[in-house]
Parts: sequence; C-alpha cells; structure tokens
Amino acid sequence: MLLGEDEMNDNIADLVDSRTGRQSRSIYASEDIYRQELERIFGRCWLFLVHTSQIPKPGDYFRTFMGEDDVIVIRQKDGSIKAFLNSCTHRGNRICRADRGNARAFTCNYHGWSFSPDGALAGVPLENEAYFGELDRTKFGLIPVTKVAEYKGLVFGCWDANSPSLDDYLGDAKFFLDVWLDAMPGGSALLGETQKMVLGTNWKLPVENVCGDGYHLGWAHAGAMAAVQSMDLTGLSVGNSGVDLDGGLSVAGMNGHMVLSALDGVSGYAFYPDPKPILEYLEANRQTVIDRLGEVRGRQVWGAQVNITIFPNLQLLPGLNWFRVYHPKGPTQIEQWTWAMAENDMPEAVKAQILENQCLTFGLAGLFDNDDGDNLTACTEQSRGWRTAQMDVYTNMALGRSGKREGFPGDIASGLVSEHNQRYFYRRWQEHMMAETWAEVPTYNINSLTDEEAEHA
Amino acid sequence: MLDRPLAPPPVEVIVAVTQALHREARLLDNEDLDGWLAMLGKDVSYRLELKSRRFRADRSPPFPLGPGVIFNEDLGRLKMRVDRLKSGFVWAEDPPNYIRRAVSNVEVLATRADNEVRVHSVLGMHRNRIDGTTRLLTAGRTDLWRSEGSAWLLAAREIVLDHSVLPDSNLNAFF
Amino acid sequence: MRFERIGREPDYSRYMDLKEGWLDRRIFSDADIYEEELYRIFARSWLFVAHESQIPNSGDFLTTHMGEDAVIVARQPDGSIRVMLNSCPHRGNKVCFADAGNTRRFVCNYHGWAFDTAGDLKGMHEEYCYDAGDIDFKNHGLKNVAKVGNYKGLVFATFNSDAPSLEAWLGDFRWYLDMILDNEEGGTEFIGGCIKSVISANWKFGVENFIGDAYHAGWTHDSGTRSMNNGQPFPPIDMDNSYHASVNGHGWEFGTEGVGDLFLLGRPKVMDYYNKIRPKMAERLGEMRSKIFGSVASASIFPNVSFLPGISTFRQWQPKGPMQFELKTWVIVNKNMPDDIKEEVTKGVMQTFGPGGTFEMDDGENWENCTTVNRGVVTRHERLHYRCGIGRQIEHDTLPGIVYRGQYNDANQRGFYQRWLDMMTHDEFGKMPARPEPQLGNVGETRNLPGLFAL
Ligand code: FES
Ligand code: FES
Ligand SMILES: [Fe+2]
Ligand SMILES: [Fe+2]
Repeated sequence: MLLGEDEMNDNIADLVDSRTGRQSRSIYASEDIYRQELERIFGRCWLFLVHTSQIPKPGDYFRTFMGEDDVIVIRQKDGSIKAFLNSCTHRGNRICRADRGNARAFTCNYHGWSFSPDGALAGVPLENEAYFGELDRTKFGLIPVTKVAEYKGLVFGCWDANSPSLDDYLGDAKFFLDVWLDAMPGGSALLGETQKMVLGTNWKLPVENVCGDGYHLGWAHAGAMAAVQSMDLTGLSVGNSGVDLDGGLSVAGMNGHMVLSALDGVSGYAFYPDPKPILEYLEANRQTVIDRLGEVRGRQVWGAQVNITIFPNLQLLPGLNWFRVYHPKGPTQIEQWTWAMAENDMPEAVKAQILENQCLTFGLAGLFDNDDGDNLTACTEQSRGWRTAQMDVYTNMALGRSGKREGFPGDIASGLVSEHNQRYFYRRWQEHMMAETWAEVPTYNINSLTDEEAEHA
Repeated sequence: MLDRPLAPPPVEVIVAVTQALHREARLLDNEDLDGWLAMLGKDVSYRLELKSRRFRADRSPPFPLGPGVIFNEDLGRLKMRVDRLKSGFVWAEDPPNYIRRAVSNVEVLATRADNEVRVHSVLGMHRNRIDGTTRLLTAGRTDLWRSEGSAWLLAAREIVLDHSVLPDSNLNAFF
Repeated sequence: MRFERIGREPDYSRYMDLKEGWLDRRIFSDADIYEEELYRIFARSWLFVAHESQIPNSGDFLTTHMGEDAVIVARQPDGSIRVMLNSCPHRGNKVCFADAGNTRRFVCNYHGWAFDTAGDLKGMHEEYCYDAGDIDFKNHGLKNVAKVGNYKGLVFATFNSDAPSLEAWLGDFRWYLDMILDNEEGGTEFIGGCIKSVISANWKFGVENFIGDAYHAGWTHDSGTRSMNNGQPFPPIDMDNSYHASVNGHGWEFGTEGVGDLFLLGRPKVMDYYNKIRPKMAERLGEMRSKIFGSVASASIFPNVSFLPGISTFRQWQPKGPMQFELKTWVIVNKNMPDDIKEEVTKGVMQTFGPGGTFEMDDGENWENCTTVNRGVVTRHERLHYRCGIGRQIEHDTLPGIVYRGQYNDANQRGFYQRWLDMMTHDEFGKMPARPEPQLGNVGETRNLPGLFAL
C-alpha cells in the first residue's frame, strides 16, 4: 500500500529523531520509503559519476548508476564531460553493455540506432526505407543528465534543475576534500578496475558505518587489526579495550556531508604491512602541502586516517586510500563499487603499493572489508521482521558534546568514537525526505571559517 | 627456434597431481589451513586479478599500474590471511559456514622442467552462510605444481573469477 | 522534482499517445500496472490454451496458465474440451502437477479429493468424515472457465462470461490466421513437445516484437542471417509490396514475395514442398494469400500468442510478474505433410528459433535490457518512439484490417497498444470500439469463396 503524500511526511517526521539519536528500523527495509528515497534523494542530490582520470581521452566512457538509473558518462571531443541515460530512445534497450571503454559511437543491439558520444542520434538503419526520411532525429538523442559538474577531478551529475550548484552543494566539505584533491599540485586519480560486490544491506548502513562509526573498528576488525596493524596511532585498540578522544575529530553539519579525521598526519597508513615508502613520501612533501593547505590540514590531516562522506552515497578515505560509491538496488540490496585512490605526484612505486594495499585491506577479499558485509546485511535483515520493524535503533553516543574547533569548519565532536556524524546523516536524510522541492531543503555550513581564519589556517 | 611438442606427463604424475588438487580442496573444506599452507611452495604466488566487461573492439589502453587484484599473495601474506582467520576475531566465520569445493576439468600438462607441471582446473565453491543464504562461486585456475621429495607443492596459481559483481559479502575463503 | 506515482489515479491514457506515436516506459515494469493487466487483460481476453492435436483422445489433458492462473485443459469423453482452474477447492493445492497426460481422475495430493476430467468432485479419502450437508459435491468441483472455443485447431478459453464469441474476438484476423491454420487440406498439428524458457523481460516486449518488428531483424539477427546466407546480410525489404495489418490488437506483418521466411528456415525440402502445394493453396485461400504465405512475416494474436508462418514456430508469452515471462514454444505443421517434411520443419525451427537457435538467441537479451534498464526512476519517465510509418495507412481492396504499407513500420505495435489501452480503460467489454469495424461479414466462409479476395 502506498502512503499518501501527507501520511508519508508525518511518518518520516516520526521515523528519525536526530536530537536524541533514534531511527525507526523501518527506514532500512520499507519498500515505500525506498521509493521515496529514489525520488527525493537520488533523483535530487548531486551524485558521483566518475573521476576525470577514469575517462582521460575523447570517446572514453564509463557506465554507472544514479540511484537505479543506468547512465553512461562520456568524455567529449572538446574535453568536457557529458552523461546520459543508458537507454535507447526507440524501445528503451540498454545501449551500452560494457563497463567502460572508448567508443566513437554507441549502437543499440536491437534495431541498430546509433548515438554519437554527444548523445545525438547519429544513425538510423533504413532511415529512408522504413521512416521515409520523416524521423526527426534531433528529438531522439540520448536523454542527458540534467546537470553535470566537476570539482577538482570528481564529476557529479544531478537530475534536479533546481538544485544548488555543485560548489554550494559540497559546501565546507571542500575543506576536507582538498586534503586529497588539492594537497599536491598534480591532483588526484583513481586506480585500477572497479571492485564490485553485491551486499544484502540497505544503502544507508554502510554510509553511516563509514561516516562516523569509529566504534566498530576495534571490535569488528579485531582479527584484521591483530594480523596487519603496523603502528598503533589511531587511538583504537584491538577488542575495543581503549579509546583516545584527543586523537581525532568527528565533523558534521556541512550540508549533510561528514568527516572523521585523525590528527597525526600518518595513521592512514597504519594498516599497511610496510608503510615505509609512503611515510617517506609524506615526509618529503609535508612542507609543500603545508604551504598549499596551511598548518592544520598540512601537518595534522594529510596522511592521517580521514573518512569523508559526501551525501548521499560517496565515501572516500584519503590515507587508507579507498574510494567508494553505493548503488541502491531495492531497499535491502546494494552494489558496492570501490577503487584505490592516489595523488598524481606520488612515485609510481608508491602508487603501485597503494593499489596493492587497498586491494589487500579493503578490496573484494579485503582483510578489513570482509568483516563488515555480514554485519550490515544482518542489521538490514533484522529490520524486516514484523516485530523488529516496529523497533528503533539508536545513535545516541556522546549527545550534545559538539562545538567549534579552532581551525576547522563544521560542528565537531571529539574523537573518532562518537555517533555525532551519524545523527547528522539521518538528519539530512530526513530533511530531504520531507521536502517537496529543493527550495525546502535547508542549507547549512555550521561554523564556517571566516576568510581570516581560513587565511590563518 | 622450433619448439618440440612436449610429451604428456606420465600417468602416475597425472594421478598424483589430480589427487593433490582433491586433497587441497578437502583440507580447505575442513578448515585445515595449516595443512593447506604445507602444500604450498616457499615461493608460491597466488593471484586473482580484477577485470571489467569491455567490448571486443574496445581500444582503450590497459592501466599502467595494472587492473588491481583480489588476491596477490606470497606465502607470507597467505600466512597473514590464515592468521586472521585463526585469530578468533573473524565473527563472520563463527559459527563456521558450510563450504564445499568441487574440482573438475583437470588437465595436467608437461613443462620444460622435469619436476614441474602446468595444471588447468575449474573450481566450484558452494558457500552456505547464515540461514538460507547460499552462494555458488565458480573460477578457473591455472597452476604450476612442483614435485619436491615425495610431495607435489603448489608453486603458482592464477585464478579467474567468473563474476563481474562479487555475489557475496566477503571472500573469507581460498580458491 | 516530484514524480507522480502509479496506482494513485490509474488513468492509463497518460501512458501513450498513439496518434503521436509514443509510449511511457512505466508500462513495462510497474507492479501496479501489471496487476491491473492481469485483471483487465488476462482475466477478460480469450487466451490460447492448447492446440487440439495435443489432446486428441478422451482423458488427454495438459496444464498451462491463463495469465498467472494455473489451468487444466482436458478432453472429455464426448470429444469436447474443458478448461478449469488447477487448484483444489478444499485448501487450494495444485491438483495436477504433470505437464500433460491421460487420466480419468485428478486426485489432490493433500487430502485426496478426486475430480473427474470435467472437474466434478467425485469423492475423497475418508469420505465418512463429512456429515450429510457438509459438502455439496456439485458446487465443489474444479472451477471451470466461462467459455472455451476452438478456431481451426487452436483452443482458446476465457474467464469472462461477457466476452464476445471467439469468432468475433478474432474477427477479420481470421482471414490472416487461415494462412497458417488452413493452407492445406487437413489443418495443422503441434509436433514434438513444448520448450520453455524464462526471460527477465516484460511480456509485451515479446508480443510487440512479433506483431510488427521486422525492423530489428536486419540488425539484431545480422550474425544469424549471415551464417545461414553465405555471409550475406538480411535481404532488402520491398516497402511498396509489404504491409502491416492490425485487427483488434492482433497483427500480421508480411511481404508478398512468398519465400523469405521459408528461406530463413534453411531447409530446401520444405521450400520445395510449399512450392508444390502453392497452386492448391491459391485455390483454397485465393491468389493474394498464397503469395503472402512463406514471405518474411511474423504475427501475434492479442494478448500473448505469436508465430512465424513459414518458419513454423508457435509461441506464447506467459506473464510471470512485471519483469519476467515464461516463453513456451511449439512447432506447428500441416497434418497432411509427409513425415520427412515434418521432420525437416522441426530441424529448421530448432536451428533458427529453438532456445539455441541462430535467431532466437539474439532476442532475449534485448528484451531483458529494454525491461531492466527502464526501471530507473528517471529512465521510466522518458518516452519511447513508436512513430515509424505513422503516415502510411492505406485502404486495400483485398487486405482486411487496419493496413499500412511497408513492412518496416510500428503500425501493428500501435494497434496492439491501442487495444491494450482499450481493455485497460473500458470497464464494460461491449463498449470497446472495434478496431477497425469488421469488413468481412462472415470470414469463416472465405475458404469456400476462392478468388473473392484475389488480387
Ligand atoms: S531499441 Fe534501440 S534501436 Fe530499437
Ligand atoms: S553492537 Fe552495534 S549493532 Fe550490535
Ligand atoms: Fe568497517
Ligand atoms: Fe527477433
């Protein structure tokens, strides 16, 4: 049964209470809520499409999803990037069945309509014989994604013509994104093929896990930490036996984006069996980064374990160097796509080591990653029972202990173990779900740095 | 230089290596991981590369650093994985899952070295996780096996996984 | 952006404009629309259930589906055919698990209620446990469908007691149907078994492909055509002498060259056979139809049967949810063909349109992609192009139905979706417009009037 508009909104007001940290479990399994999410979150927000390094040359393309919509992202002759629904305008067939590649045209398997990289309908078999030359080809190009924009290598697409610009959408999260995208002059790249896996989880659970859940690390990943941890700098210990609240920050209140960051400038590499070459790279370039980004980010954040979440479904961990999007496939399933991330100024050997270690730790057989899947799946499944669906779950750790921190934007709680970020994530979710249009979605960048502070930082 | 075709390996070798593959599968099924490590050569290389679905005519170049991997292990790293599995902290494997491997399409081919054979095989791996969650993974394998003393040891394995999206939430298992 | 959701106000005319030539993609995956299709289309149409040759003797039966309802089709001692729900009135268990067979009784596995082949309840295990008055045997048989009809060997049934006669339902389309069902003395039969495959696509994609989509053949089936034709592509189509014809949502697209499909079958002996009987065929069906038969052609009967006259594959698209159908295929031949020709036909069908056939293999993939990719919340709101040949309607003095010139056309597809829309929007069956008004009074008689529709 579909709920009426008003009932749905009342309902959503009830489902989440981000002041006290409470979520109804139904948000992880309900079909109705999921449909609404596809429209109001995935149909509205800026969604990550591709990194420019993945389609460097004209004709390079990459196939991905926006929500459940299949799209192709294509580098144009003039170097710009366009994105289209991967669906033929004739009978709707999927135009491109490859994951990526380079092409001069996309020809549909069914009747052979072919589309050029700019989406134009370039060829129609038997155009004169069958259509008597009467087909207006200009009306049947591929459907373009409403807006496509780039922020320092990250390409995003958005269906909603009334959305804020990408720049405004990212807001203060750019302060942290730059720690990867703009730390070094050469910029950034994603490495290797896409690492894809199906998980039987609601899409919000992995997002909340990585956006704020430092708490699970010492417990869920105890086996991996025991096996590979090369230094003890994260302030977290095996088996959740201790916690260090000074070593890190939980940053939120930036338009629904969140960051977890250690402050030691090296701990991103704590899970590399041999971190030496990377530590040397950090050492050698530390001053450059300080010059570019300032003391705080250059000394404390660059190289540390940093988790950045761009609402709704993108997460990147400079330091640990993995980059991930979650494509929803129904309320209780996702496809998780992962890549290794690097800075272009890194020596080849360091990049190779990053690719290698990312695959080892957070790849498809990743020592750490393999601990999370079953937990997320089970949290989803346990929200589907008749009784469990009526229950709540809580993100109420360290309530009301956040504030401003010198040198950083955002509403900040101390330490990596807190549920501060999750509360902001669900708050943003609720704001979108209750809004009829973008105009009703609040914009906030709490404790934004003044120009002067930024300068000082 | 003209390569002379190699004579097929003696039947005893074919039988011994085939038996080794079956034994290996049984040890893994029974979680005798130390027994399995003992079947590996000291210089073992154990690899599974990532791939993507591309058009046959696609012209885009390979990645300079390679495609990335699911496994790129030497003996030390395999031991590390085994240590993790044995740490008692890998909650996803406790209670143990029901895993059964079937090895088939075994082809044992001679190489230039007398004590080494190249072996093609197919592995089907059934994993019954919690409740009714069952996954069937299939992979092709190309191995190098070496006889040392009375035993055949695995010297190298290239695995090709037949899934463009991994249909399971972890790979706490060896192929 | 706010998308309205399906199911709140089912105004189906929003999903297409056939005068303009577009369709909304939601009709191919939406669960609410699908549910409505089951009621409004499958529960009200005449649906193909069997060829009478499949159940020649008293007690012969087969099981199949009408929409998603499981039914038993059984030959009665008096030679008539009955169709009933394959579901026990006691607790609803499936009564018959066999695909086909011969029996006197259907006995339910659960508590042993026994029914005769007419569906009447005849007795049960431990009958004494019911007191007098507990059970009225007459009212607890297997529920029979409202009507069963037979058109030249094809058996149809409907759940709808208000349905018009089968003859009226097929209407002038019988003129075309006779080309496959009655091109030779003795009529037709199905030979061999039924091949079933499951395809993750909306059922309408299969039907619309066969009803009019000659256009895809040259591209989709390029590899198959070349492999059967010495490396040559699909031969050019004669757009002046080929047609689309649509009657009440049924449709036949065809050339008049007489050999194309027979050629694609790839069995020269079959071609020879038809060339031999063609003069007789002309006497039976008239000159025009004897020329059409064997040409590049394909056809569908509304809502879910298709076939290729000349290639002899006969098929039904059984819906299994909005995004899946079960495809059942048979081989149809003339009863009076010599056995070796029947065998040649079977070989040809398997080679081309069996599950591993050179042509069949290309189609499913397209339909699956057409269905799955269109589920995206944005994608589903985009329109699809159904305008091909929209200005080419003609009046033809021989061909009945709504006729368009040129085989590359979306005309029959538009006719199919028009009928779909008619059924989805009309509560009363009798109020649906005829498309077009019947032209041929009593087409059942055309066989006896050779030349009436000759060129
Ligand atoms: S569906 Fe793409 S050309 Fe017809
Ligand atoms: S302890 Fe966190 S989900 Fe159970
Ligand atoms: Fe984790
Ligand atoms: Fe076809």
